[in-house]
Amino acid sequence: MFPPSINFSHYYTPTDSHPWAFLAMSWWLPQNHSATGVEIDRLFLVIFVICAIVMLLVFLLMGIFLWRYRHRENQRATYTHGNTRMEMAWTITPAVILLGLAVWSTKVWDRYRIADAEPPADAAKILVIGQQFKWNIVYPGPDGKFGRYLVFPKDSDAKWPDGSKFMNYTGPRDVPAEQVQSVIGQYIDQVDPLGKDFDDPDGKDDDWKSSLGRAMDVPFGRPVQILLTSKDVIHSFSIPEFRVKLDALPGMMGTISLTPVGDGTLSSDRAKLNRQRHSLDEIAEMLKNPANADVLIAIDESDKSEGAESTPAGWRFATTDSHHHKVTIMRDGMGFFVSDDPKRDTISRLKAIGVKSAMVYRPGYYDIVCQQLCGQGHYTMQGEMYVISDQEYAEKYEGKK
Amino acid sequence: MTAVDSRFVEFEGEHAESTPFVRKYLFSTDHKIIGIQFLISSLLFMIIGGSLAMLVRWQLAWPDAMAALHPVPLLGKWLNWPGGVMPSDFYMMIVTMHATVMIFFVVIPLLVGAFGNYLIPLAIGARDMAFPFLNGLVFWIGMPAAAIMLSGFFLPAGAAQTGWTSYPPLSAIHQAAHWLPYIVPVGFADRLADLLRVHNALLASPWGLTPLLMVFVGFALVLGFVCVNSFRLGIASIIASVVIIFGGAFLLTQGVQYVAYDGQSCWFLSLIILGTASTLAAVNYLTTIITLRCPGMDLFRMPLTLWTLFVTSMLVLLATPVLAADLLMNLLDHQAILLGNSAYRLTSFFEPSYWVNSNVPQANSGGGYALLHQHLFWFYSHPAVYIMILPAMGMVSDIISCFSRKPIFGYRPMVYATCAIAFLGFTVWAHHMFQSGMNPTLGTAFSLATFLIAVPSAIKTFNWLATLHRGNIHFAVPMCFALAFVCMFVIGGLSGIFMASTPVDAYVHDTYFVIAHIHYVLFGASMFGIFAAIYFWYPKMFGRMMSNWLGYVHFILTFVFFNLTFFPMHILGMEGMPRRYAGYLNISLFAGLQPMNQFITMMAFSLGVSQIFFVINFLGSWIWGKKAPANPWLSNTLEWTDASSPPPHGNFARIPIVYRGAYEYSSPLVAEDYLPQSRKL
Repeated sequence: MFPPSINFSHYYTPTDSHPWAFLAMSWWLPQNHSATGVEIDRLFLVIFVICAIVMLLVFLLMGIFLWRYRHRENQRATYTHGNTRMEMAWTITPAVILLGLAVWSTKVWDRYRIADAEPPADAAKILVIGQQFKWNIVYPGPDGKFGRYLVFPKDSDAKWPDGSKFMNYTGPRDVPAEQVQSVIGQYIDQVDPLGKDFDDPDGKDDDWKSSLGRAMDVPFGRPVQILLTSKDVIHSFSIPEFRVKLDALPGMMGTISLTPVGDGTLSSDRAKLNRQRHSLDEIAEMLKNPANADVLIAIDESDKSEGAESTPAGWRFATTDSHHHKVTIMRDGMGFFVSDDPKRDTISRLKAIGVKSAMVYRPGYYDIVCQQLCGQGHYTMQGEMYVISDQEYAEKYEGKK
Repeated sequence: MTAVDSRFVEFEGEHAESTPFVRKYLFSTDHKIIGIQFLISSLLFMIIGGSLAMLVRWQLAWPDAMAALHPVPLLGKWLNWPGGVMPSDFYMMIVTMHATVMIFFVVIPLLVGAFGNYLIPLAIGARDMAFPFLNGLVFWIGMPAAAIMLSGFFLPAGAAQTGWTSYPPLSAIHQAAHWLPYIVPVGFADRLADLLRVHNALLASPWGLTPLLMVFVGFALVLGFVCVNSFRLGIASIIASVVIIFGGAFLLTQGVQYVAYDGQSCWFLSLIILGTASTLAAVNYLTTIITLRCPGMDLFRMPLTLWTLFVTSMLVLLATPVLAADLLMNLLDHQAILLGNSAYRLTSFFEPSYWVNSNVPQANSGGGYALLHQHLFWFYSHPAVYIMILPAMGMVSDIISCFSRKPIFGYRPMVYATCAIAFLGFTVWAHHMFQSGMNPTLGTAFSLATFLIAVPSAIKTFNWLATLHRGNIHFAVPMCFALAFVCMFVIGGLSGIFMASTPVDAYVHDTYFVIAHIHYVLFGASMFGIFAAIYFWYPKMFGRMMSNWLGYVHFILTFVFFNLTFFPMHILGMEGMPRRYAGYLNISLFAGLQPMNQFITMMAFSLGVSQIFFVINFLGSWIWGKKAPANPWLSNTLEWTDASSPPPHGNFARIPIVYRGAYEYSSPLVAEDYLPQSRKL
């Protein structure tokens, strides 16, 4: 039953880590699973490289100048006020590079936000309505169209939106003035949390009733158009692993799209590993698939071999901390770390210190997080997204057999 | 008030001695005293803002379940938090107030208030500002603004919790006191009131006695300043002053209680007052620089510090009224009246139709546009970023040129770059809003402008580098900070390019990447520039040299720990870690980042502790420092060459005459390696 408590700390309780334990973390973007994300990541990499070169160049030049022209006896600085040619050079060069980046950014942006706003006809549509501190996920049903939402009853309405009686009143107009706001509030609470327009024919087959806080399913390999709005304050709908982010604005409808692609993107593939004890050999085999990069591994006393003298006492946890197969091992708040890139070969180092097996934790879902401050529960506003097969999606949400 | 054209008048020195103490040192209209007052008050606010940052870091290192092992020291016990765990709305509050205090009460007042005031008249060869009374008034108006801002902490639901951007509709919701059950009476004045049994009689509003006293004192100081500078000394004027000060402050404090009844409305009100004061200050600075330059001081002979302050004042003048208007609209939206059991909003500028808050429809909200606030806010706040960096750039240019003993490379390009940044600064505001739901087509235009604004910044960086080239570089403490400024500005500027690219911004927006970026610009650049300026002009301000040894220790520790604190935040941002979260353990994607969060916290505390060396140096040198000569750094500008350290009332014995620009270092015309602006050859 949703919402389950997605409190990772149940089985992942980090203790104080070694001050340098973070060095074992991934220092790059988490693995991308969406089509547009590929372009975004490429652009990120290019900007990163350009910036790194410029930064190192400036630091290198400055270092040389500071050393070469440090104050010495009887040294006199060169008297010059500037050089127009140099000024031109370092005005035009950055301008050209930056304009190039601007043009490229615009191209990607146009595909990402402007072209994708009108996706192909077969795109799956999902309406997401933010509220403090949950996401409502609404599917359009077989007709592929949404009815109107967020049309809440007003004091002056003669009838309740669904046409029935509520608390013996036929409509908000019958409620005494001093109670009207609280009665409407209760109506919204109990009957119509999304302000649905019940007369809209497009909305008859919408799958909206259990929308609050449920997991979002998306079909693999198909464009997904997400219509985004909010009931109360501004939220930001963000799925980092799909490079998706857009604010949900009350009173406005936003559009953002994603297409889940790539090996191992299906949630069922991810979930296979979850909460299973595997031998180190099995784990090494799994890690060869790049899609299995962000796997958490926990090791406790039972994972050690009997006579492992070199094993430090009091294991707490270990993690291949996201995306680059790196493993952090902590013990008793001091800990040390090893890394799993081929050069350093974590698995064999783990073996060497007497570890036989490990518990693998890796949720089968993708995190949906809110990135716009939306109140005191902001940091708990998270959702789950599952990538299911196109066929399963069609059966489940589009009434196709 | 008229601009006193004292250019050709010789200064008669008696005035200074006959001025009574209160008018000379407390409610002074002398720009130097006001500058120092700004300096000291901003540094005190920095202690508050810094302590808030430490609390933030404590929570991020040991959130949720981990807090049981690491309860928040002192505060946890004092506020009776169960298990010492910080409530999440308290966390939002300290995040909001850290940013607010640092931006509006530390960096802007330090750069524009302290150094703007101190340096403008001295460096253009004027006796004082064009409007000295207005100048003092601006400083003292800051006091009630600060009092109202801080009094939010003492209201039942705490200070503002919606981030320093205070986006409506969140900021239009009245604050509820989630941590109220745990709070004990908030201060000595309340305990006193309880003791005297006057509590209930006095307080019909949520205001406790402590915040009321703070606001009262704030207003009394403003009125005190006005009275002291308006009346001649005498028994009648003293009685009149007392009546005006106490009566006026009492009435104003009463008024504040009606307008502001929770932290958020305090926040709006305080910044409206502060914004008005900044606008007045900008008028004063512009008038001074335009009308009071001494003979020979062409605009293009002014040191770059003055140029940047000049341009900054224009930014303040044009942008701040927009902020004030926006905040006033927000304040009106935040106000509500009760009719029966229903609350009705006064206005609905930013709330859409059918707006629901906790499933209660807000009856008369409607027609508003939530993005309007963001447009207005960033129309001020993006130029404000340049308000917070341009003066530092100017001062660093002067310092680098002075300690390289070499003219600044490309003086005119530097000036034009400053103007270009200021102009483009008004065309880039919506790059804060690429993912805000505004029309994505708009993003293209703002992205282009944002890429372009990197060009003048690059020009400045390369000019600083070229100034070092073939110089004669002395590594004095101010120079170390100035060089660090350039390095940190390079990193902060380059990380801005990621945000300028619309699609990349879709990923890094609202993550710790942005936090790293803003701290590299505001702390790494602006604060390092401010430290450089303090070490540089301290001898002029206080007539004493600062300790070199303590200065170097402060520099090295600050530089190292600053980078160890903020550089890893780039990586957290690249992992997608959102900002303004009270903890990350509950999200699988970010739980593994905890080791880095803990590392950052340790480094942040070290950074905080390192500032003790600065405090010791600042206070100790004031008392025990070596007496400073008039021109200890052998600089060219008027404040060093024509005024003693510290300068007397009226600044100059005789108004100087300027013959050349400010950067004639190592000129072949003279044997020594500097040639003052006012020296006649």
